Amino acid sequence: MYFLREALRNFYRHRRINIVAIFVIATGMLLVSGVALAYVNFRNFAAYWGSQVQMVIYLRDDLTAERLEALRVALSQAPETASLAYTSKEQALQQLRVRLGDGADILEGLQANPLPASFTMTIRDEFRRPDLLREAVERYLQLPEIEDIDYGELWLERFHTLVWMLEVSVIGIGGIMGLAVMFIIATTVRLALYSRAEEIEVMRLVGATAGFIRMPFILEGILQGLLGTSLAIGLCYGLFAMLMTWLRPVGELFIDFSLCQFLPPLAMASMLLGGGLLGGLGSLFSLGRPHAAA
Amino acid sequence: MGNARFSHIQRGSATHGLMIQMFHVGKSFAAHTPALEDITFRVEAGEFACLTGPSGAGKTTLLRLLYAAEWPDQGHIVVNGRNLTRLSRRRIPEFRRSIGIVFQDFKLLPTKTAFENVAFAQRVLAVPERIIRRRVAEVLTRVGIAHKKAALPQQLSGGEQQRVALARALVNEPTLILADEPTGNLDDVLAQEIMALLYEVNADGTTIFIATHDRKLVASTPGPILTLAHGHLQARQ
Repeated sequence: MYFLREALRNFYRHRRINIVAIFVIATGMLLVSGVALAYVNFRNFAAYWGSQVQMVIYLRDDLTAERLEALRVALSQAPETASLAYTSKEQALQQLRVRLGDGADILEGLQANPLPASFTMTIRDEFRRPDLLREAVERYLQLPEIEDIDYGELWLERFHTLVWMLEVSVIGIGGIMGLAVMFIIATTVRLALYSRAEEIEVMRLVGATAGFIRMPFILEGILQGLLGTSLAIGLCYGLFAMLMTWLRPVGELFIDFSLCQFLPPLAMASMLLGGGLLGGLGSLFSLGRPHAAA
Repeated sequence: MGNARFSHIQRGSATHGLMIQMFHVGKSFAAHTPALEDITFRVEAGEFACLTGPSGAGKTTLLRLLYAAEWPDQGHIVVNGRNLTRLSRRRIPEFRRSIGIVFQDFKLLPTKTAFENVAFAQRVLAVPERIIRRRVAEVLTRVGIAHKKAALPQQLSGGEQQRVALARALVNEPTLILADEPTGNLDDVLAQEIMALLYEVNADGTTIFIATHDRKLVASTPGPILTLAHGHLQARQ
């Protein structure tokens, strides 16, 4: 209790330098929040685009109703299947007709329906990898009822590579920024402590232990970290809201804005924890060993 | 409960009369320029000893050795029953809590009131708040500064600040007080008042070891006088 009271008192007494430290921490954490926000939203879009991955399984024309039903049961129980929809030959022709619109006249001369019946399978999250899908396709093609399978192999591979590259970039940039922020925070806390070197020396001379001297400073550092990070999250939210307001009217034609979201509570809690930890550790390392001298 | 916490402070009394002993102590800060050379002396418990000599003679260095802010290059130092040459860094806070130190520049915490400055020396011992309040009030009254207990150091005169510093040195009832030029920043009248307080404390049985270059103060010292010059101990009177 004494340490907390001391930390709060010191925080108030040295409020100018503490405000500077809080703003420096906030600036650094704002960069980290920005990267985290970009990452979270990129993941949302990646998950959405990934959910569009589907497999169209074309069937042979000569299937009996029993064999069709047996295949439907087998496919719906396959591990990759998220959902399965059947399209009959007639439905396929009808869909083509709708798609062709005014050009549907060209279908008038057909003697027989050339389109195959098909199953459209959406894929579960964990199987949306090119290698796993390729393996599943090869397995299905062994079945005599199946004529061909289309699953946008090339698109999927490119999408997967893009996701991987972006994730590596975001983690790399985030890591470098995190280290830079840690360095900036430690330097700021150290500068703040220089102004109180005399105070620390007096404490040593009176016989205070290293822990007794450090504890209020560490708590003060944690407080700086928490306040700086809260400010950063608040600023980041403000910028995000402003950006959404400006971009929505222009960008709604190109992207689905319902996928855009602010940092989830767990990410904010982690950032607050990280900010507090950085402030505390910054103080701890800046203080060094209080009994090393004097 | 409080007495149990302070039990270690009384260790000096277990030394059977010996409070400070330096034995062939040497200290250099640069090669070929020793700050102190072959210093040997002892101060008995209850004495009021005075270390004197011109500025630069090594008084402050000798005092810093006595409160373990410096380590000797040669020799042995025993203070209040502890061999400082063998004292680990981890044990320094405990040692410093067993003695009182007074400085020429007072060394008060600038952001704490007179009361809080004195209380700090008790808080490092984890003394309960109730006892701290009573004990600090007592000691501030004793040094005649109780009416200024809520004042910050910058609101106090030099003499008042030194009284607070003395109260901080006394609050844990040490058996030894080390004072480095305690009247150096005070006029004659205030200096006499501080010295009177130190005599009073000494009369209660606390050993006082004071470093000063003020000849008038040295002349009025009731105990042994050690004279330093160029890092050498010249005489013990």
